[in-house]
Amino acid sequence: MSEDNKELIARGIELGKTVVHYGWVPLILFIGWNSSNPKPNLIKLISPLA
Amino acid sequence: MVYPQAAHLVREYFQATNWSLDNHYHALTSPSRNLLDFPIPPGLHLSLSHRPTAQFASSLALSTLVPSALPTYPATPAPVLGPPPSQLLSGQLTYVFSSAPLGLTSTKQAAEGEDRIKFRDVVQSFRVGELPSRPELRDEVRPTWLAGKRVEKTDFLLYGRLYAPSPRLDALYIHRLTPTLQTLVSLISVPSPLPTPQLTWQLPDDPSAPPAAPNPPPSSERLSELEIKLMQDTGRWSGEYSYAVGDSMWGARGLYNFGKWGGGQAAGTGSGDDEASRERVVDEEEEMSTGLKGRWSAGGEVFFSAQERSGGVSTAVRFSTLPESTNSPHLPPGALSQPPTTITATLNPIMGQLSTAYSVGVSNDTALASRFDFNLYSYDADLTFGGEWFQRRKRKALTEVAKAEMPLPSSFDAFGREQEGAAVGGAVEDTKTAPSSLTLAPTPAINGAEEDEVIGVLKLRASTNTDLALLWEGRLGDFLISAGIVADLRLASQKGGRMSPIRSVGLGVQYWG
Repeated sequence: MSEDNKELIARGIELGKTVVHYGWVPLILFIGWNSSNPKPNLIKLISPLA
Repeated sequence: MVYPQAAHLVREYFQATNWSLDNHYHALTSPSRNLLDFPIPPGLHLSLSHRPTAQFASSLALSTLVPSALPTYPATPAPVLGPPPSQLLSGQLTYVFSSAPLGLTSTKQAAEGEDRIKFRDVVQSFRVGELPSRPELRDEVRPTWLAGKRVEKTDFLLYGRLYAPSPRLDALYIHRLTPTLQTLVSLISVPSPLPTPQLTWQLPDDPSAPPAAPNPPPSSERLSELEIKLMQDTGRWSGEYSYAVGDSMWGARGLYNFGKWGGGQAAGTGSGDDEASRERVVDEEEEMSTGLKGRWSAGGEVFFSAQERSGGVSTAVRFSTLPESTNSPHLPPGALSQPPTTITATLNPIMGQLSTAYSVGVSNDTALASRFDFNLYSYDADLTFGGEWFQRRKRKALTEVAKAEMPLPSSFDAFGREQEGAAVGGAVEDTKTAPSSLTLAPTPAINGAEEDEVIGVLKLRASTNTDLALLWEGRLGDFLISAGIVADLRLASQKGGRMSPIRSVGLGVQYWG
């Protein structure tokens, strides 16, 4: 494997890690909101104090 | 330890999707570990949880006065990922989503019926696992045919926990592949720290610029960890195969259950056929010399990392009594035909560590355990004793509450239910029958209070060369309280008795809304 490909893969992994780190909780919130019927208020979903 | 709500929901998810956590190698010694290795989190902890829907939960936890060097029991060499917790104030925000609807249990005193918390379910305690059976899918996710097409649904769980002030994220994803196969992906992610902020008009070699950190933090590779695990359970056999990306660690665990029961039957459903088959299981099982009837399990695990050039092996065997012995229909309630007992022996041949444990439930509310650890190479030995005692709400108090809550003019049956004639018709009020029906119900079960008699647990652990620990957990108003103390009596004898034997104190308060 060439150095360019290695560099590309390493950058891809870094990007994936960043996306998962900042996108995981919003994903859970979206799935939780989307699969609820009736749809709850978003503040109620996000805040544990609501 | 009272489980945090998120951990309780993950356990409930496994229960709702008919997946047994008991029938795995990692749970082989859990009855004795629950009695002997209960953790006491040092510091002050407050946790508030909220359940907007039956599938979703959020939780906020705040911790303060947590010492920077966390004492763990038993001492573990595992590295702590991420920066140490802040002594001043640290927080965690947790979200859980489950495809299977879970119970909306709450710690509120006003909660009734199914929503009312069952204390024994939320606390780590001694329990002999159920008979292993082949897991099955929930009815709602079984494959169906719709307009000539096969529709398949699967159960899954998403879990995320954010830390503050450190930027750590814990993530867990559980996916049911087949009735007997499940995958778990767990991740701890700590992004690499940002470089020291620098004002734009400052040159890098400007002497007025803030100096760089003397000890640069380690690279992010060491801080993050990803593990992929495959779990299989056929009732008779169970296996776990795992791969940790951080150190390229491969692992395999297996457990085999001896015995003569058939697979595919769920234990504890209560039908007539099941009763007969359970009786047969008891008769056919092996009998120990002490007279205990039970079953045997044996298992082992292998870990290997080519990158770290390290590995590990352990084997274990367990005898446990059959769970039916605690709820035999032929005995009066509270009586035990044989005490629920678990005996385990584990051996790590590489490290030479041998451990034998014995745990027994001496009554419905009390369990005791002892464990002997011995190292074959260094001859280090350790003997640990522990026990737990559940507190129950007094019957008298229950009766008073019941009388206070029952309106006298209506008539009630023996179970405290309002009679239909009085409730619906209302025209015929037989006031003479009301007092007699009340006397027939000395302790009416109101709103599940009969099952919720357990209000607290006291746990104690003492060891020959480690700590003495005491933990009380219980319900206080709308809250779940945990209060614990860890002491080392050897410290009191050192330096002329000027050292305090108390090593750590912890208090936790939880509220599940």
